[in-house]
Amino acid sequence: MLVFAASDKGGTGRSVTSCNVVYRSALTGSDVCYLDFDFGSPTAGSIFQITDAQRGVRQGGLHSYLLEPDIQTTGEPQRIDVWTQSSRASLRQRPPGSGKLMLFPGDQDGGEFGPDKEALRRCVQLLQALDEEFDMCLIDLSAGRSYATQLVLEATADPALRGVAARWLVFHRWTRQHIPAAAGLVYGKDGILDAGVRAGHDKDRLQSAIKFVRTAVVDPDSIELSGLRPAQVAWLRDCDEDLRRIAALHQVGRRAMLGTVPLDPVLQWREQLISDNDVVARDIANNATVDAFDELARKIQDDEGWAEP
Amino acid sequence: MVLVLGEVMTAALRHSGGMPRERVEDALGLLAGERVRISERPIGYAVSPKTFTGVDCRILARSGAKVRGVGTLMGRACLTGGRVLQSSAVARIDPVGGGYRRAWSHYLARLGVVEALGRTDLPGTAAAHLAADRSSSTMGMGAFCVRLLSEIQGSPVLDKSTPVRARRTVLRWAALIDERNEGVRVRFAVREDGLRTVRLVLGPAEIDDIVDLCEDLALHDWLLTALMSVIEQSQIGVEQPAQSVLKLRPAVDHLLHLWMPAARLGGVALSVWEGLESRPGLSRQWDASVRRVRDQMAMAAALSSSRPPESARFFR
Amino acid sequence: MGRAMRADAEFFETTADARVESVPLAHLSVELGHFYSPDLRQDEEFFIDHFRRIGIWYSAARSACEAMVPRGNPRISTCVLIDDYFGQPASPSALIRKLRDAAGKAGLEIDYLVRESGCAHTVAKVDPDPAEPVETAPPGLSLAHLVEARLVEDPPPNSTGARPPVGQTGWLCNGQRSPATETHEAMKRPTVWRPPAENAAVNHSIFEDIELWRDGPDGRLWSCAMLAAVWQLLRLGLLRDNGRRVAAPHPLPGDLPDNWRALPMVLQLNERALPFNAYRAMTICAPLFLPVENAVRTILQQVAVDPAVLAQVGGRARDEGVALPLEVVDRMEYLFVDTGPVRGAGPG
Repeated sequence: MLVFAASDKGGTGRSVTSCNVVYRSALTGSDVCYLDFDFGSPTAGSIFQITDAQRGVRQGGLHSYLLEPDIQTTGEPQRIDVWTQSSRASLRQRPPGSGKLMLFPGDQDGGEFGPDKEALRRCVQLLQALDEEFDMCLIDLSAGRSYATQLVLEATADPALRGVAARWLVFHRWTRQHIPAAAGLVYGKDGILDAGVRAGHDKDRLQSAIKFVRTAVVDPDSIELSGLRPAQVAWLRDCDEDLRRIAALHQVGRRAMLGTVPLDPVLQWREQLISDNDVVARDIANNATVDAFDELARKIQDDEGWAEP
Repeated sequence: MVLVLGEVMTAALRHSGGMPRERVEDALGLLAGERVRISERPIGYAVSPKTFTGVDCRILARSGAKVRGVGTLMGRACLTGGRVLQSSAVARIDPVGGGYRRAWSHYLARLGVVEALGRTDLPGTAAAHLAADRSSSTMGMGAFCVRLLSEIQGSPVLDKSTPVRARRTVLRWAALIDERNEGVRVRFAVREDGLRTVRLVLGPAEIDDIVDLCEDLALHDWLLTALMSVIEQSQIGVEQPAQSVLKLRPAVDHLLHLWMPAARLGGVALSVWEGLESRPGLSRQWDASVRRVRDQMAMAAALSSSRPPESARFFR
Repeated sequence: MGRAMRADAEFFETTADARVESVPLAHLSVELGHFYSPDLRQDEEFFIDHFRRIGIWYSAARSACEAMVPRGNPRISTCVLIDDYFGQPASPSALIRKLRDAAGKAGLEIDYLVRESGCAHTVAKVDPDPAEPVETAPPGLSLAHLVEARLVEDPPPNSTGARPPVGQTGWLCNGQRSPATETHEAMKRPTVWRPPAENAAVNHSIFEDIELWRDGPDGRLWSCAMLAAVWQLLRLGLLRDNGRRVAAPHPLPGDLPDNWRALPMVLQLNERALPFNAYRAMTICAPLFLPVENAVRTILQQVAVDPAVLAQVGGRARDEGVALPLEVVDRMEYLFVDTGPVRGAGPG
């Protein structure tokens, strides 16, 4: 299964949430990989805490795989086994029964690029090969209407990938600006649906494969907010109600939503994987955050939520 | 002395069931106007026509010196048991005097040969080919294999569902042929990253036979790797036997019947396999793994026989 | 010693490859004319003049061949190619008579007449009985497709097996094109212009870029150069479809149809003609055809003929004591001479 992570704006927590979802899936025994298609800023290495690939790898990453086929003599991009390469001790102990957890990094100093036909062909070949090996491949895309998004829309329309399940997660913060922006990325002019149809996708089928993920959501009823004054809680409730209305108006309402990720300081400031250790032993991250990741990981793979209308 | 270099890439075919003959011909028909050869016994086997690609690049010798190589790589693909797909890239390295490149028609009259312009140390070139890690491949053989494999895996006649999840393995080989050699010496090495190497030193032999042999070795190595990975995922002894058996099922359905070392081969291949059976003992490891799967299934069956019949449906 | 020690074309093949059908072979095939629509409309005088001029050089080609063949008894056949692909010539009955009569008056005999569109359209099934009609073949591949599939492009320096095939564009060149100069990656310095380069250049380049085909609303239109390359390979007896021979000659039917397409591709006009296919091919034509024939050579430099077929033809030449170049492109010879006021290819 291919899972594409998109967002209209930066700073939505798309990458950090995606990394955590991939990590939680691996813990449950799925073989998973994470492809850093955030070509303008390939920094997934830092989230997985891979010392040598904080901002991409020096050579053989996804940029050179896609753009410099002549140089890459193996026809395969570089991969990093997170279980063995992470500098974080709690990650290096691969739990029994867990699946593969592989990172495909970008190149250091790589930039956004206009993909040519050859890049498209290579992208198709890569997704094909990874689909043979992994239960889930998560492809983290550059924010906005990006070349990366266009590339994968064209790749998934290729006959060679027909029959491979492809699902889209569109991340947005739970705010008045972010909700319409996310809707615009999907439904707007030259958005994912528009570009997808141009690439050869069926509009309804593509739309049914796109779900929204709300990030940095403040839940007025959560225990963390139990210290607030009643007036503050009431205000939060009003805001939340307002946002729900806006979301429904923009077709980003409950039916199109896959899940929510609560506001968590560890995610905001450190942008890293949250291990069980962070929640239980160190007590710095919230249990609800990890629950949200688990829930997302489960729902992504659950066919029922993705049925065509 | 003659040096032949090759690389084999092995994967599970992206198709859930068996395929009729015509479909196999469609999938493996890499070259218009050329036949796919198919045989049924002792195991289903189909091989594509040969295809060629031009190269003009540096070839590394052990001393660190590089020479320019110009010529063509031969590529082909084969499907065994309707399940395991392989692609091969092969070239014979011919040292030639003179440091200049000839007209391209010269190389097309010698298909599958790469001429090394300049002083070439054949054993050194063989060693450099085998010493590289998975991230670099002599003359882009790896990328050529990927291209052939991808072309077939993307064929519209396949349903794109892979019965066994496994990483593609790469087997690189070098054969040093010398008429003064008697018998055959083989060195098989399992490297990290799904990479294997085979070094052959032998007397006069047909290159086609060596390609067949190396594909056969790669096939069985892949089977063993895939079976062991399935066993590991099934968490025998941790999970309930019924759960483990569910995860073992793809191996039973798709892999166990394919183990037939040197089934289609003769001569050189047989003696190489004999050598490999004593060390590293591939068949011993395979047999042990298969026993483990069967024991687990027997145990799960025994445990479930006392339960309501629906939980036993996996064994039908 | 095993065959692996030999550096010849049959390197990867088993010696006696039964899957490849063989064809009768002459020593030399001489092309007496390649006629396009504007020329085919001319009167008999035009063709008599044409064949007279060609005849002088035909004799020279004959003598040269006699000198090359052991015992000096060469098998030579002649042919003309007419374009019914880009243009629509007059009906077969009128045209064939005109050409034969003109050749006869000029002292030449046309052994075979070939329709060029046969290179571009579906391969007709080869019938065991040449007397039977042939155009009942199921849809399959054209000869041009068979040749296209065998293209192995001349790699520029620093190409490995990772180099993607550029066969999807319909263009074939003998080197490296001048690179496109638009930027690839955002905010990176744009690429500067570089000249194209010929791969086999000794010092300076003669870069050629040849259009093989163009896909349009009515399907694929093969280029004149590509069809001519197919034609040369056909004459040299080097084309097979799944090991079977293609476009075998057929005798002229008693009742000629009005439509060229209803005829076999290769028509045998002379009952006593020696084999159509030959070890070598001589083309006598006007210098105006030079660019096309140069393109043909560039294409054929990059066609990897089935090694089993090459081995078969090479073996037969050896058995006959005929010297045959290993490289296909060296089996073609040309005489570019004044053949009268030919106009060559019309528009298109």
